[in-house]
Amino acid sequence: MRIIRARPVAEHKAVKVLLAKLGLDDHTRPLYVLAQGLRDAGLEVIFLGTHNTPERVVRVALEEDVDAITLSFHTLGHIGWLTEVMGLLRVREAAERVAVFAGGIIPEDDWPTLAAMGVKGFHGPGTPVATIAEGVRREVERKKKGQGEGP
Amino acid sequence: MTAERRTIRSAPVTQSGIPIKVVYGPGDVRTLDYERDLGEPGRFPFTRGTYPEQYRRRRWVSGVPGEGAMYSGQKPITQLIEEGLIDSGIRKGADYHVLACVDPDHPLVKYDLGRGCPPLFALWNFGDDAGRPNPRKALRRTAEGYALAVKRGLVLEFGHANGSDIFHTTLFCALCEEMGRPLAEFRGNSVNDPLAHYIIRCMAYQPLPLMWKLALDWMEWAFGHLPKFRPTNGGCAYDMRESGIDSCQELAFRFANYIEYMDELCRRGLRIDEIGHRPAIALCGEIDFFETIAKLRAARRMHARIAVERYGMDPKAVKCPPVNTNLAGTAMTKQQPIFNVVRSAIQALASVLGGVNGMELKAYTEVMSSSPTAALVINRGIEAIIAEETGVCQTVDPLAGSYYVEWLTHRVEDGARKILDEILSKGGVRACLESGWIQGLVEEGAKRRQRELEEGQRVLVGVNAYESLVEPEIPLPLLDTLDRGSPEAPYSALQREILAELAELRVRRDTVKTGRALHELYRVTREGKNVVRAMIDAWKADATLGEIAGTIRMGLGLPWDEWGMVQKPEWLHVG
Ligand code: B12
Repeated sequence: MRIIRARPVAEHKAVKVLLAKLGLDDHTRPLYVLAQGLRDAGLEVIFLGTHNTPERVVRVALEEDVDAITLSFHTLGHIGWLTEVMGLLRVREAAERVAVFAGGIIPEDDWPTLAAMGVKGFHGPGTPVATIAEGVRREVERKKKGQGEGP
Repeated sequence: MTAERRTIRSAPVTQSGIPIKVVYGPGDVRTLDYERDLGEPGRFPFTRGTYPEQYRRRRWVSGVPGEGAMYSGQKPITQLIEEGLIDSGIRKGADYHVLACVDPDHPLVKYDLGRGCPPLFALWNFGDDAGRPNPRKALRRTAEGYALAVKRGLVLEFGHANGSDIFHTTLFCALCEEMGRPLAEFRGNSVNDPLAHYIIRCMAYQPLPLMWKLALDWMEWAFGHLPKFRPTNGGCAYDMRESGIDSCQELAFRFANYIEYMDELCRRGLRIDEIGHRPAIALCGEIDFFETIAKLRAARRMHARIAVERYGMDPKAVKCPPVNTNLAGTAMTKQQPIFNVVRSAIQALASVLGGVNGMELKAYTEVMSSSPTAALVINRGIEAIIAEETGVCQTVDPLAGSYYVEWLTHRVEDGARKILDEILSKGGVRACLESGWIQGLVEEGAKRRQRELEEGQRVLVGVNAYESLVEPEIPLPLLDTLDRGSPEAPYSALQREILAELAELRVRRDTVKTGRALHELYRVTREGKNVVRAMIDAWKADATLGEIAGTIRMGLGLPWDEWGMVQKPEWLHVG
């Protein structure tokens, strides 16, 4: 699939995120909504769309040097998929650098498991996209500070 | 109470953005002509109902979602049938791998296996019922449930929608034959509208020409062989609506797809007066009460007018199909789920006042997961209360003549006709897909709906207003007993069982026989013939879903797997 780049309106170095779904989950509506909303909030969005493997997501994320990977789930398969993504990031020694966000239909019972894996977010139905963008931006900044690159 | 608290916050427009006046009167229905625009119920142009006596004679069919995502909290179908909770029909959804036309062990399936609903990938899954020596029967519950539904002659609805319907409809034909039941007795319907899914860019896994061929082959064959089966509903309006479009677009897209299929079937030699009324009109039952009613009334009228204007039928010969709704899941909220019971009731009441002949309610747990049995009971209760206690079923189309309802019915039809004309003037749906225009409308709609919510023009109680109503926790069974795996064991026990069953089948079956049947399917596909009979025979020779799809792909000159991740089995000599 084509990689679609959405440039942010603002000129300063924008937070860069990759947005995708894994496997055969085809709930595309939230993807369009998120792509637009994150861009409106000034983030740069690398849009990978649907039918991705964890390998592809991690490869493109590293090639594009994104600050965060944002993954949308509506199948309840999130634990398995995220386990793979986090594992690949660790192998590529990028787990510290790249923040991983998950959202969509993710039962609250699973949040602790995902948090222990290092996944952030879990913004569910009804969350304004601006709130999601703010959360991503804050986490990315926190990561950068942790690495001594912060302001 | 303060004045502020008593102000309605949502904007005075319908859900589709049609401005609503403070009050309506005779001036708003000046052009309305009873005979031309309404007519008696059951008579052209069917605005007032498909049947003359509607619910006085027969209540609507209650659609019951079949096995959901891996049985979460539900009783088995066999038990629901025995208890009478399922008495007329049952919807059989499709799992992700079925929608994508691949086997459960495809690398894109993985942790999503069985999370749409229990996967059926071979006749083998049915074990004894299909005369197969399958000792494992990982999908016992599902297989036995649907086999019982077939035996009892219940209406089976294949709710795959994206054209992958043919895989399971032919699988069930094979099952009927193995059980010795005549195909002429096979009752059901399939949504079977691939165009919708290329329009919304959702479930468009395979190339459109492939899904188009499969969808039409199924329609053509079933119209000829299965008198009790509706092989398409002519347009999966529900899925399109749930992707973010409005009511006028919903009707326009539905009829544009219908026209695309009917035209092609006529080219294949079928007759519009024999098939035109067979696809049910299946729409989305939304929370906007009057707009839903108006849309349902407008839909019947559009059907009637299209039959006359486009297909040159005599108005007296036009038959109206049943009209069904699938109630909107996007109206449901995660916040305070018990409010969803109220939303379901309002959607259902609107559907009934719009004269539906079938409907399926959403569970109050819609946003969490599939429905526990509690939700099923509540929904049947809502339907029974509407039918028996409210009195709305005692007279047909009770809202006819209401200034607002008639004005809005006209307004929705008019809006839909303009969009439909635009689609047709651009060369029809397939041409609009090629230019990307129609997909753009859907994407724009999804963004608009979100914007309306975030800016507050549209109010969702407990989400962007009345947040205080969300705090008090009202206890409800919300399930989530579902095994979602863990970082240490990412596949659930059932997923492992299903994969083991597939592996076992591949070893235990007679591959020579399977290969022969697939080769025949390949030949038929290559020659451009209808593939249905050959598909049924391939199922009976124990081919799997992915093998059948791969073989048809090869027959059309495509590689075995759309994603290049799976190779054709070595023992299979096609291509
Ligand atoms: C619309 C819809 C559909 C449409 C999809 C249309 C489209 N083009 O996308 C249609 C009708 C086609 C559909 C089909 C199916 N669906 Co559906 N669908 C829904 C529904 C009703 C709404 C989803 C939606 O679009 N909401 C609007 C968007 C804007 O909100 P959102 O997705 O929640 O996203 C917001 C947040 O969650 C968050 N967010 C989302 N992703 C991310 C990612 C990150 C990183 C972050 C930070 C935040 C975030 O931000 C968004 C803005 O607030 C939900 C139920 C519900 N009410 O949520 C079921 C639901 C998701 N579907 C479900 C199912 C099972 C299916 C099917 C498998 C049914 C079947 N057997 O055929 C198919 C499969 C489709 C497929 N192959 O993927 C289930 C999933 C079950 C589960 N997880 O337990 C649900 C929960 C309904 C149910 N209870 O059964 N569906």
